[in-house]
Amino acid sequence: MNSMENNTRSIEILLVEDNPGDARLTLEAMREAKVRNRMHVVEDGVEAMEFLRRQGRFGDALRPDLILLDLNLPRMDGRAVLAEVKADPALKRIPVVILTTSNAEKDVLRAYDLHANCYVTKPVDLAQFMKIVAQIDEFWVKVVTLPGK
Amino acid sequence: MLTRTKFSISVAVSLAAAALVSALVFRAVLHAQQEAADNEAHLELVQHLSHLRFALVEYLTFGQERARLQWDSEYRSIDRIIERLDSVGVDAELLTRVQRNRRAAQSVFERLVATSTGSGSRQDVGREELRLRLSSQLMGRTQDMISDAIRLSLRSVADVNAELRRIALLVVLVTALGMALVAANWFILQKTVLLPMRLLETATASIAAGNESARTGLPARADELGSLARAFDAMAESLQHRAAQVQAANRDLTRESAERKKANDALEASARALERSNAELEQFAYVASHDLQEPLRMVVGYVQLLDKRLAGKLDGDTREFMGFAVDGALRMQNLIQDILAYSRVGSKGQSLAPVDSAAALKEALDLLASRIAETGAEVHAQPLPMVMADRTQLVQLFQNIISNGIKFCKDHAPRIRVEAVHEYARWRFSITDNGIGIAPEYRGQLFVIFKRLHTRREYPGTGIGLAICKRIVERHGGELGIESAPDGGAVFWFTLPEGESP
Repeated sequence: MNSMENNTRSIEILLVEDNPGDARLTLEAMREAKVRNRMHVVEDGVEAMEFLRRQGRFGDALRPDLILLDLNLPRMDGRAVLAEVKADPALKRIPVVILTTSNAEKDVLRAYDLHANCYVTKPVDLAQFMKIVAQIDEFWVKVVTLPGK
Repeated sequence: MLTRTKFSISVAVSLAAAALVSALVFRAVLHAQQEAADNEAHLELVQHLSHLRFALVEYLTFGQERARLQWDSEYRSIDRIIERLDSVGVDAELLTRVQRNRRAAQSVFERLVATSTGSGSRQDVGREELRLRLSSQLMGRTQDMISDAIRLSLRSVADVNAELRRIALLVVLVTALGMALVAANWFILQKTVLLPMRLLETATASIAAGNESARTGLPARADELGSLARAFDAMAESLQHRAAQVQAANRDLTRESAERKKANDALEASARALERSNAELEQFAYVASHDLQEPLRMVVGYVQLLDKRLAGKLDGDTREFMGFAVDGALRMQNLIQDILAYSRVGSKGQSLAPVDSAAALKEALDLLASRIAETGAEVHAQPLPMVMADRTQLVQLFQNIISNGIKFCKDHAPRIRVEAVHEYARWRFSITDNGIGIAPEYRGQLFVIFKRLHTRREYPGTGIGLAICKRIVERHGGELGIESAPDGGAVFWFTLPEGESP
């Protein structure tokens, strides 16, 4: 089974999030979900693209299996990152989950127009948030067959 | 006097004058002809009398029979001529004298002939004497006759001349009369036709050129052109009056259109301002949905994380305080969500389309499924119609009202009834609950934003839910209100425009 196979190796997740509190909370939620993963955190869109293209200080970065992307970021915002990833043949197969506070309809539609793989609004309540992170993990890491490296 | 009458009289006078003059001329010509014929006869008489005299002289000189016969012949001719002439006055007198002399001459001539045919020398001396006397008499008579005939002839020539003079005079008179008539007609034409027509023409041209106050200025007259001029002046008066009215109306229109334009400009400006403020509001709403919630999530998330990690190590007070902190932050988040929902009713609304309200109700009930299950609520819906609505907002409307009905029914299982009746071109929905109801004095405040009638401890909520309902219904052009249900609950009602049948 694929899930069993996937479980045998560590899942690489790139979290693009400018708020350290939020990033930490997501990390904690992932830890609670007991997933074998390595979470890499970058704080803005420019760093995210550098990480994905292994540029600058990310020269030895691994290609992530999943990108968790916030929309409102300094320098280059999440929408631009999404557009660039989905336009790049080398990157476009990586699933991108939009994980954001905004539940504005225009953001949701825009993200799907740019080929986001799913859109999740972060709930305020911690328990709900943890549940959602666990579900993301469950779905994208255990259920879905991801493209090989 | 009417122009027609004037011209009729003028024509009648002219015709009568022409007839009279013609008759006079005709009579004068007839006279002249008669006189000329008489003159011819007179001259013939003179001629025959001369021949008679020649015949007499010849007879006296030669005593021939032929001369006597000649006398007789002339005598008869003279008799015939005199018979033919029919004269009066001096002419008749002269003629009678000629006749008398002729008869006398005849008897003398017969005596002379008788004297001449007798023979005898004895009586020769006496006879010669008688012959001489008779001859002398005859010569005198014939001379008288010739004189009279010449006089007659001269008189008739004078008569002809007189008639000719009379004719000439008549012709002069006729010419003068004709000229006078022509002049009179011209004067009448000028005064009764041409002058008024010129005045009418001037006034018409003047009005056509834009001078509406122009009039004919013709003094009051009883004839046709007089009444035409009066009618024209009345028409010009009415035209001027109407033109003044039109001008006044035009001025009003111009003013009105200027005012309307000003109002339009103001309206456009305020529409632009509204658009700007709507855009700003939208931006604000977006910022609220994202930036305001993130700090709250941090507060809630980390307090809850602490609670979770330190479970068992915290005393009761600490956990209660942490509970208040989380509760406050969560309420803040609810408020933000509700304010957003309220602002989106206006800014995010879709255009109205036919919507099956039964399906919208079902969707609202699905969203409320967990609340309904928790409270054991029963919702009964009558058959519901098609309405013109924004589907998402209609769902929210049902959801808010039903959720409200469930909330205010703590002590027993909520029972909610949804129904709709048709009135005119709209539907009136009513949602009846069996909750605590609302005292009449508070009904007015119910739909005011942030207005709460109970403490949060009794009934939680932000006080925005019904304000959102009011905004949704008003956006659909409807009305809403609340009444008391007979059994103590509340009846929320609202109206929506009817939609086409599915």
